[in-house]
Amino acid sequence: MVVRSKKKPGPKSKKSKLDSDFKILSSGSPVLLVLTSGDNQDKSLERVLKTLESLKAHGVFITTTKSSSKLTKEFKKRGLDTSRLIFIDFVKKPEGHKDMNRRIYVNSLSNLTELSIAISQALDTLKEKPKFLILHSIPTLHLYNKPEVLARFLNFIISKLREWNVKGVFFSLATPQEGEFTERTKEFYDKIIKVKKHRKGEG
Amino acid sequence: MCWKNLLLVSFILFFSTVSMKKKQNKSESTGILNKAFLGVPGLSKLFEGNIKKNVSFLISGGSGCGKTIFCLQIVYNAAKLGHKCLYISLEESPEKLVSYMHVFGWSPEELIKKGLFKIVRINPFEVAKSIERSYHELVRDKYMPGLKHIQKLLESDPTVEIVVIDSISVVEAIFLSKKELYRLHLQQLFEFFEKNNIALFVVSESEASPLEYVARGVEEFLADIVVLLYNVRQGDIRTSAIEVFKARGIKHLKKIIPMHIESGKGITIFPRLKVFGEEFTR
Repeated sequence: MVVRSKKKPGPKSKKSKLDSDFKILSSGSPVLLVLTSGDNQDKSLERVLKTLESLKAHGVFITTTKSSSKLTKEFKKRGLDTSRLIFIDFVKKPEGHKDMNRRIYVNSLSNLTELSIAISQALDTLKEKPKFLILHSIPTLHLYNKPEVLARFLNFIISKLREWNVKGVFFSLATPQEGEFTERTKEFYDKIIKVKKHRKGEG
Repeated sequence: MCWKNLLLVSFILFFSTVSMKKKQNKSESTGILNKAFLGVPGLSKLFEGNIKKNVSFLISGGSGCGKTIFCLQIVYNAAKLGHKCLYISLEESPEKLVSYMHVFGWSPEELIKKGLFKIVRINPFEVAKSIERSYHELVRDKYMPGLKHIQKLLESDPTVEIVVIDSISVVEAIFLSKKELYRLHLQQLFEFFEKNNIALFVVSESEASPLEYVARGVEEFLADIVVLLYNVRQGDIRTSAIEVFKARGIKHLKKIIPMHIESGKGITIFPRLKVFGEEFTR
């Protein structure tokens, strides 16, 4: 009798699972929810951006925790093409006239109306196709807005993305605190991708 | 015979083209407001179809909601298109209003020189006195009771097509204990402009929030179109919004819509978008 031990999936196959999850972005205008734990957020974000870059897509990046200038530097270090991005920044108003047309500043995380206007204006500015929108991240917006208000906002924006034929990727955390909100709003998305905890050695 | 038929067809075609062009010109002349609205990005999307030339508007909202800027933006655009506009201010001076226009990148000086845009300031107490006198003392002159101040202004230029009165609340405040007289005056005012084929914009103060707005009755009833401007509080910030509360005989968008007021730009309306906030989830 031959006992075959169950092979644990190696780092390479985990990486390809994530890539295959994001492959859904290659056609149509799907809207994804990516659930990460704290330590694998950056890697997941990088994967998403690289996938969209490979599709020659241009898009809008909504950043709620880091300034757009800091993110631009980080992305460039990782070899990402930031010329395809328009940032919506809550963190820091861009100074001077440098790159003003690639950055829109919204004065408050509780100003979802202003955010929806900024999204609409940013997407209108992009003439290239395909287009995408990345929201990083929902938990930060949750700190400043009541769940029902945020849910209405997400529902509205996602319906607009579908109407405008724009791919959407929304980032959230796979935590108990966010779990209830995710459960309530899971129907909004075409797919929910849970990114497992990052292990050492994984790509 | 063939060439006679050809000649007949050509005549028919020629005259039908001429009459089509005449019809087109007639409908164009009734679309002044539709064209003027193009000066406020997004505003024309709130209404469907042609808005009559002699329609009356009530522009209502709280302090700082953008009522004056809204009216200035519309009449500035109308004047640029060659339509004569008269802005009657009962509060701000003409110089102050022109300085507001500069903030938004508008230069009305040339239009004022050409006589297409006129800003006058009248004393609301004088207006109130004149109204009382004409109704109570039955002063017999060529002017309609309570409208002497308006008619005198229009006498100097009878070709005015759009008039703004900013704001009627000042006059209402004076007539607080004589509401019947104020109502009578308003009725006369609206009727006068409708009969004289002039578009009227009346500005009035109301609540800044949609949840607190209560239709007061007189102005909302008399005006053909009621537009409400809001300045809604959301946490530590305020959001501007607009709503077409009523539009007699005109199909219109029935929702509260976000609005921007920006230096160098003026008002921009976003009819495709929504206002988000706790007030709107109740």
